[in-house]
Amino acid sequence: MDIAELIQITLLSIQVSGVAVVLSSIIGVWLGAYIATSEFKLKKLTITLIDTLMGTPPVLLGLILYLVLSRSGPLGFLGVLFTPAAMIIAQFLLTLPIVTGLAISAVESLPRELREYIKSLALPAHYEVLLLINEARTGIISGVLAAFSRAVSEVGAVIIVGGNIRYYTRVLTTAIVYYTNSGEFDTVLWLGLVLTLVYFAINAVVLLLRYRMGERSD
Amino acid sequence: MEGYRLMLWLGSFILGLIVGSLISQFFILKIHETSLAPSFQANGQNTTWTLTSRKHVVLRIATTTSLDATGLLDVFKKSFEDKYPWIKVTWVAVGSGQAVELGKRGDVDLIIVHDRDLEDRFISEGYGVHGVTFAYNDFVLVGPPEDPAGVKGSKGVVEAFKRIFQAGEQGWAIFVSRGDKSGTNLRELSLWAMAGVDPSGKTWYKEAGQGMSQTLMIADQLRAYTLCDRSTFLVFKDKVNLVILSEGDPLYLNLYRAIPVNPKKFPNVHYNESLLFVSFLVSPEGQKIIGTYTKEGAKLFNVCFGNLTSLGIYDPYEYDEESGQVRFYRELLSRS
Repeated sequence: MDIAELIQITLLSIQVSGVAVVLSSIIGVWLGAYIATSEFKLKKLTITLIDTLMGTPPVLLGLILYLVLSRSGPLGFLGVLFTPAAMIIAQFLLTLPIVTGLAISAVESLPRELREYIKSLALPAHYEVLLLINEARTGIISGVLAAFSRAVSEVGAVIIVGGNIRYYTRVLTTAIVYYTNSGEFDTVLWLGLVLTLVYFAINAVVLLLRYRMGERSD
Repeated sequence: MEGYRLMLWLGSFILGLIVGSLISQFFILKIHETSLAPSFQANGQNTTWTLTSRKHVVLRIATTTSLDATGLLDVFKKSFEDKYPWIKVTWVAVGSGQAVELGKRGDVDLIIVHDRDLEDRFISEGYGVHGVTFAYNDFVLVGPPEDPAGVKGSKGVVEAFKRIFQAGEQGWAIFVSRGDKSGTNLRELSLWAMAGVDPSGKTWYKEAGQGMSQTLMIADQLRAYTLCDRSTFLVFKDKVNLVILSEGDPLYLNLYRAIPVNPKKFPNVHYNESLLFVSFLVSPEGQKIIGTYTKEGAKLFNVCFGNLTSLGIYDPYEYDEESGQVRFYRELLSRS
């Protein structure tokens, strides 16, 4: 494998996981904060359900999604199986409960007085949620980061719905599986190094963000 | 504190690089949306060439692992895409059993497999059309050089498998099976059946449930026997300490067939592009690529389009004078 292919694989990995996590964050953060602030009958059950879904085995999700996206399945007309779009859908579904769940706990762990104060302002519901998201941003960013880590390191779902097609749906993790199977261990070590670097880069930037934000909010 | 700052800057730098290249890649992807390209419409009798403006087509193939692991498909993809620049060839490398399943669900446009029974069923059930055998090689029985079961002296594959069974029962030998319903796995099972023994469930019979290359590595680690196609073994022989112990029996013959998925069952498959790909496989140019493909000095595949009968196999579906697939592809090629 040459450098160009390594770069292409890395970029695809980040592209797929990045898009998936951006989408799941947009929905998940909002949903999580909303669930945390509102009171409804099945709230405990909903939270338990989300917590359970956080641990969905990627292979199981991959298989279900394969059956759904297959030409013979209910969403077959979309024709997205074995394309990067299918991998994005898989990782979106995989990270959505993580972002939602961590957003719920981030908002709920805010000081009681703060939450009561915001409530007492009697703002429209979505303003209230926005304020809470702003207050809980450190925890929420950690949640998004955790979701991204999970997405970029996940292999079970993307290998099933993406098919590990060279130059097309082969990402870092599926490439590691592939080259391990082919016995090209030196390539695998390079891929592993790149995956670690990507992790490191994202962690470092998030650390920077939290550090800056922490300074301001204190 | 200084180290901490440095780490942050380094991280930001790497992330910046990544984001920058992402953006540039996005712009590159936007070019080449459509191109003017010749295509032929093969609707039953009327095969005509037309010049049409068309979008890029992604041809999806489900292939047996050996064509991928040997690198043949990579070479083939390059020549094919040079000739038909509007077609992007992609494939998933799976066992023959799974490849057939993917074809039956309409998830791929073309399957390339190597198990005659599976293929015949795939075609007779109406999932595949215009299947044609384009290459062959053979299976080999590989094992540790010390050969605890004494396979080396056996006459033919049936006796070799009997010896492994006996040695296994006495605890001297281990056999690693693919165990994944691939063409190799199905062949191995039928060879056990021919030897009149049933190894399933025995402690010395390990089902790997993985591809050929992983199975070879497992066999290498367990000092075990396994059945392998010659091409994959030649590619891997330097990475494992296993040797060929039994070969050359006619029962080891391994035929590769390409079968486009029937567009009448799945209207959205890229049928024309599949036919183009298969006709390129069997064209003199394609057969030359396959026949001369070598890896680390070893020739991996032999071509057999149009002369399968010389291998002692007569398949009326392919070789009938009037309606055989060989004739179909010859006519297609003569028109181009």
